[in-house]
Amino acid sequence: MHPDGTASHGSRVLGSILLVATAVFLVVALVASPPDDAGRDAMGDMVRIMYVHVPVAIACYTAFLVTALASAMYLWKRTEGWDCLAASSAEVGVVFTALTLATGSIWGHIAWGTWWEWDPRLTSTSLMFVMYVGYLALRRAVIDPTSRAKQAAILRLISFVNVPVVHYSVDWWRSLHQTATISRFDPTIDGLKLFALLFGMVLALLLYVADAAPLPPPVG
Amino acid sequence: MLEVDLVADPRPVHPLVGLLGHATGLYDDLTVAENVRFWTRAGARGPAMPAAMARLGLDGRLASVPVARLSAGQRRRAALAVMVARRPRLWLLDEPHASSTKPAETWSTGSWSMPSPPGRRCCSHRTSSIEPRRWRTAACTSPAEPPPQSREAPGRCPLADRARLDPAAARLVAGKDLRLEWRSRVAVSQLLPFALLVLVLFAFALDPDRSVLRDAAPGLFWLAVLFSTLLAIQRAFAVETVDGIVDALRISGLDPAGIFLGKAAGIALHLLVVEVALGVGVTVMYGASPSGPLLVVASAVAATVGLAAAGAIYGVLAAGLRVRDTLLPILWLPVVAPLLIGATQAFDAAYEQTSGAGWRWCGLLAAFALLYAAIGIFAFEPLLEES
Repeated sequence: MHPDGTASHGSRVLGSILLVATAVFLVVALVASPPDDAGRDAMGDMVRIMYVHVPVAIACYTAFLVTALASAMYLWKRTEGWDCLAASSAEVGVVFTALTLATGSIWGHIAWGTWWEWDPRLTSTSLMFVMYVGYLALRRAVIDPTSRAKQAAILRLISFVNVPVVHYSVDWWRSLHQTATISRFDPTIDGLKLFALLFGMVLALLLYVADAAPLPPPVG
Repeated sequence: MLEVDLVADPRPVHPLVGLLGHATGLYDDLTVAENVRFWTRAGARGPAMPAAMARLGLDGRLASVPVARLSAGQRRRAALAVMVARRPRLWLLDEPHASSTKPAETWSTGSWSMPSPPGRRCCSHRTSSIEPRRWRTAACTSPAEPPPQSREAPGRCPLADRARLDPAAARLVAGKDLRLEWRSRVAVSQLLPFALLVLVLFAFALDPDRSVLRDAAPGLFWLAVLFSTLLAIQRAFAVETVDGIVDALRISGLDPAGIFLGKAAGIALHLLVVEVALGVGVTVMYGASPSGPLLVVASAVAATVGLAAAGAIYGVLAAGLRVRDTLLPILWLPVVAPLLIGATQAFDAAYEQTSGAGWRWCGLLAAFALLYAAIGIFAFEPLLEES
């Protein structure tokens, strides 16, 4: 192990496991699981993108929840670990949000015939994405670590309070024009497909943990 | 320190401290008298002001000169006048005679040796001209005068403290901002023309086709307001971040929540003027005429309060940073996106005379305004501390 490296024994083991797991996941998702052919709204091979899209979406929401909690904990406890956790969680969360938007957009292109739809969930997720880019930009702009931690934590909590406002306004905005929002993910899916989806979720969350766990430890 | 328990609540000590370093903490566009008046009122110390200005030779022609036009030595004398008029009990001086000519040094020495209530301390590394013995010995022997903000009982719950707002501080800060505008005319000569320019640019972008412009008028109106608000926020905090003014504000004794409300009110008043001009512009140039005046006015006021409140929060957050001008838009615009949606929809409803949905949006705007006013009241103090 390199003396200046930030890797720990645990992170190396976790990394190796994730590398293998990702390969297995790709086989399950792309080859082993059957295409969706049930019913009129069958998605065919398109269903496979859901095995990535839904897990990364869940990981990105988790990341942002953790960032908010860590920010609140920082303001309460004033220990550096919580600030590190908030920062790393936001960084990983931004990547996952970008992936969510990208995979969603690809899926939308095939399913709806358009790369972008002003769907409420899509719109609020993209706004959230920009807010987190701003959060990271603020972190880069402040030099003093204590100031940075405090300002970033306050900013994060304000954006968190803003989430329901964005959600409702975007919801009303679209529902006034469109009779129904487009969301037709079929919850009744069979064994291997469900397995691929759950596998993807666990994998995405583990990837999140591996990337966001603050190094050097510990929190608190 | 100074009979204040700094661990329980350091705020009561602020008005007891005077700070004069390289920065003078003066507003460039205000006159000397206006500066001294603002800072003494901020510390609730009115009556000493004329004497302080006379002591430093600022009671004549110089009193009505904007600080930006003073020489460096005169500027320092003005800062000293603020200090003398505030009558702090702990004076923190760093090179107080920097850029002073000889007479100025005599002036300042004269002012420092004026009859002063006992219990004061002075801290400077050139004490030879400040009659050190008298100041220091007096500090040790005499009972101190009660701190001016002793009504703040130590150990009080900060939440309960926040619930008691100081409207006088808000009025003072908002009044100062309006006076700054009166002296500098930045809003009139820059903000208003910019807003109208945006309207013209929209017409270029969408072709001067009346029907397109008329249909899009509410959205374009609010976009123009949004861009103008960015400039208004930047201006509102640019005047606070130069020359040590932020430090001066922190120890001024002004309630931070009051400063927030004052800044937000100043921005909101600027915006209301811009909105009136834009409303006329949209009506004349785009041919759009609102039909529900009550809804238009109510939603415009609610949206303006929300924009100004969120603007004051993000303005002070970005104010201390080197990259503030580029960072503010990326932080603030996504936050006020719901306001843009709500205000546009409310105006749409008013223009199309379907005001039922419009009032719903107006409610959302009001909720946003209240939410951000509350956030600002609580969050402004820590943000001001870090800026």
